[in-house]
Amino acid sequence: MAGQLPFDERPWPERRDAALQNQTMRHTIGFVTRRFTLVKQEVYRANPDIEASRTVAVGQKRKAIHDLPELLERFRTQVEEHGGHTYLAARAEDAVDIALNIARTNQVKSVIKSKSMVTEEIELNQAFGKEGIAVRETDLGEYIIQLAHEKPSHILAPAVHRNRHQVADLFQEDAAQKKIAPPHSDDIEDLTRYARERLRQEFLQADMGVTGGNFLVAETGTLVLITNEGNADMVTSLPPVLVSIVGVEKMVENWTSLQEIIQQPAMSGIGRHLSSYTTMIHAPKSSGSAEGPEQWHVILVDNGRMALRGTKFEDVLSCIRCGACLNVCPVFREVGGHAYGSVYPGPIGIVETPLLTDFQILPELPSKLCTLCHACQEACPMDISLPQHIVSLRHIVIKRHLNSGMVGWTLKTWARFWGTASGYRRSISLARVMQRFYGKRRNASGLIPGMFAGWGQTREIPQVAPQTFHEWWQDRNQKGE
Amino acid sequence: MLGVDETIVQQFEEKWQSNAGKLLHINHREELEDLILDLSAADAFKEKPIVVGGSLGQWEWIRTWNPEKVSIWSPGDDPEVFRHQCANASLGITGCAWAAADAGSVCLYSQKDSSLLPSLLPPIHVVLIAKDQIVLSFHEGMGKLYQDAHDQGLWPSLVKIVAGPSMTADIEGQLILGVHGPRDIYAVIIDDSIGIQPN
Repeated sequence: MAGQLPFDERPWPERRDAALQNQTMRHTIGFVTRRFTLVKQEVYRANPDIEASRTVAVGQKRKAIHDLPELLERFRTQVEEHGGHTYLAARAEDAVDIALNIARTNQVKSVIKSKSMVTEEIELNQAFGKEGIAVRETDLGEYIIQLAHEKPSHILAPAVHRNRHQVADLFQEDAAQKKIAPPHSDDIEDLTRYARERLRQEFLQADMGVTGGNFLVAETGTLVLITNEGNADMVTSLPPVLVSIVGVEKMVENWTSLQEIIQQPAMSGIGRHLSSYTTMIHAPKSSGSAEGPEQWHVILVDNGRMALRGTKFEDVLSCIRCGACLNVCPVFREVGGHAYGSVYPGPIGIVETPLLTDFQILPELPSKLCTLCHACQEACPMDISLPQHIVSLRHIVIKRHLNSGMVGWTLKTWARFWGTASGYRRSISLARVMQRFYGKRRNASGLIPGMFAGWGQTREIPQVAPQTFHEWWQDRNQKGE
Repeated sequence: MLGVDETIVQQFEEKWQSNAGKLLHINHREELEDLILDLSAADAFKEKPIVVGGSLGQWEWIRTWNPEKVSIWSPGDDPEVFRHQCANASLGITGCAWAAADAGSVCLYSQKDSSLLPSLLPPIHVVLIAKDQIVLSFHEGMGKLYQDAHDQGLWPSLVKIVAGPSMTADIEGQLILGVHGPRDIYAVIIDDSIGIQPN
């Protein structure tokens, strides 16, 4: 069954132009992605044994996806034996309903949340907002974009498109609204201090915590969360009710598999052996303990994932959301996350977005936002065949006539001319006539038809030569006779 | 301390520091007392500026050492009260279950007799490590966690692995320490366990 993902309704040219005009975003995203890429290369070079672990992890993760239905059952049995509750949500809206029911039953008024892409996918915050329940994002980047009513622009660094002055403005406004002391200055240290103080109170008062999950271990019923800020530790240890919303594909079979894969997100994402905090939840709080939730609910989200099993795209379910493919992608480095229009940007996003939704949204992504340079293939620690998938998705887009009429017409016309030698010669004579018709302009942009017209706006197209090589050759031979 | 491989200890120290963790060696109980008082000195006026996670092993003496300044978690205590104390404390102290040399990390278990809150809420966290708790690799430590759970027939409900202070690079990619968790994290390596014992 196809899943549902939210998307930006602006057409691609509009999203693209907005991104290219945002100099702050382009500067920061360029800096951050290049740095992540460098430190990743460095950590792999310095630790050759991690490469061996990675290869084992890839094999085990593929097997876990293959055995997913059985592993999900094992995981659920384990968690419930430890006193937790589990749910399987087929669609995004089912996951939201389950979470809302838990909140209603417990008369929850305020929720604190650590970063989770899947809750962006199911639009949890909006649903809770409509119900009058305040959801507070606590990852610093997520908190910033929540104040700005924006979407993440990078899966690891969601607010990378905003500079310190813009963040300071948001915090000033927030402080005025809450009638609390604003940040001392727009120094990044002061801004971070403000967020610490501001969010600390919400952590201590919240009725419910929401997390995502980096890994689920079927054998032991363990959920693993990885953060650098420590916010997931707050969310898992302070509120009385904890809801973890996790994509079904995060499953690994057993503890041995977890040992091999657990360092990959930090290694490939931020070039460290581990992020600052790795938190494992095994059960709700046992009586007499100091911390932990009294209730722990795990919502396992399908939303189009299970349908990919058994297809040639199955390996995309191995993605560990490390962000390595985003960081190396020359397109992502230029346009950043918002231009993709999907919750999932970058190479993995242009593959996953159409696949999870069966092409119902953003079918243009594989064709428009990839140069097939294969950098993502090289960077992916889980060996996902991203470029091959992108080519296959382009085929599907053509076969299912999902391109706009103009694109189809242009490609067909082009193929009709350049499919044969005589067609090619005819197209050149035609271009020469058109060139005369448009006068002696240097720029031949007027000559470029249909979907290629955009080329002429940014490039100087050379004039068609008065004589082609073939014509010159023929002439020369005739004269020589 | 027979059988402790000093190269493993050294590797842990280097990696821990490269993760922006701070490091101290302690030979005597008095040194640890001084360190704790120094680190909490700025908030000396506070009532009980020091919180301790419990389950202290060879550092049990901290319990009776300075009751006016220190709150320690014990099974059966009121969690609300302890949480409030941790939220107001300036220094949190915990032991650890194991430390990994290659990742420069420590692992803490949340169990009835040990709380994670002192490692999370105060701005400074001091983690006490005996040299023989340091294993060569994180991989090996994870194996130990599994083994411990099996031996005890019980998994800790929460497990936390710390590899450096709380940090973020969410604004302009600039690294800042101490977002939600502690800004300073001290690994205190106990060189001579005998000297620490109260006599």
